[in-house]
Amino acid sequence: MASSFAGLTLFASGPHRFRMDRVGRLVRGPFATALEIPVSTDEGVLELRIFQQGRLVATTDGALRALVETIRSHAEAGLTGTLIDHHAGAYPGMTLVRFEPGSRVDRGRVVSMRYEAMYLRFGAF
Amino acid sequence: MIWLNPQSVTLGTVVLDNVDSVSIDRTAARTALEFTDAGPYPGFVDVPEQRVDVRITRRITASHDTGLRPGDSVLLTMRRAPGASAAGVSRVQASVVIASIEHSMSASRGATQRIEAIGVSSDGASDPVVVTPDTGEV
Repeated sequence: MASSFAGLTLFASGPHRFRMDRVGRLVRGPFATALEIPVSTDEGVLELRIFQQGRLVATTDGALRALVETIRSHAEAGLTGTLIDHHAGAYPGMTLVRFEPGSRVDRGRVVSMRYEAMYLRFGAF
Repeated sequence: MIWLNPQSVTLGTVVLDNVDSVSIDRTAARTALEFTDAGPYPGFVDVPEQRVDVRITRRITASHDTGLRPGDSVLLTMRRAPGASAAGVSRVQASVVIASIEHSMSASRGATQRIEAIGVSSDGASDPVVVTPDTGEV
């Protein structure tokens, strides 16, 4: 099935994959103490981060630019919604916080470009 | 593509005689390949960077220096004909940069010269090799 984010299929033009960042708790330390007993502190649950890597595909440079501009506007606005991956895995409350275009536009049979996007669930801790 | 015994082969202003073959190999200089979360096979393949390699092989019957050097940018031209008649004759042109000029010697074939060149596009998008019909005599 096709993935979606906040009900939109911003990245449907090309293949993409999802990867969850490390999860668990944010632990600081260990800190040295006067008693020379190292101490760590539990800062809470790590924010959930999901990375998406893929390729935008278009037939022209202009069409590719339009795809990028649409995604950029949502990333800059901090679009928040449910991220649904290719296997119906749902992650509510995710915000698109970063879209990083690849180093080049590839012009072969089609016009395409690699990218990485990052979604973040703010305030998990 | 390979042409055996092509006619009127020139590299710039140099006329090449006794040409056995001219081959044009097209290969991917870089591929764009993406896998998906759906399975083991690529979901996207494209070839955004391609090489066009030209190889000319000819017999050498006398001592001669063509004056061609690696790095020279020249126009390859030749005529190709499927048969002895004038039907289907076409002209092949390719902008190339000479990559190497090598010679070998064997008892069976004598002296052989092998010229390798790389096709160059005028604008990066158009094919370096242009084939056009040629109605002139063979």
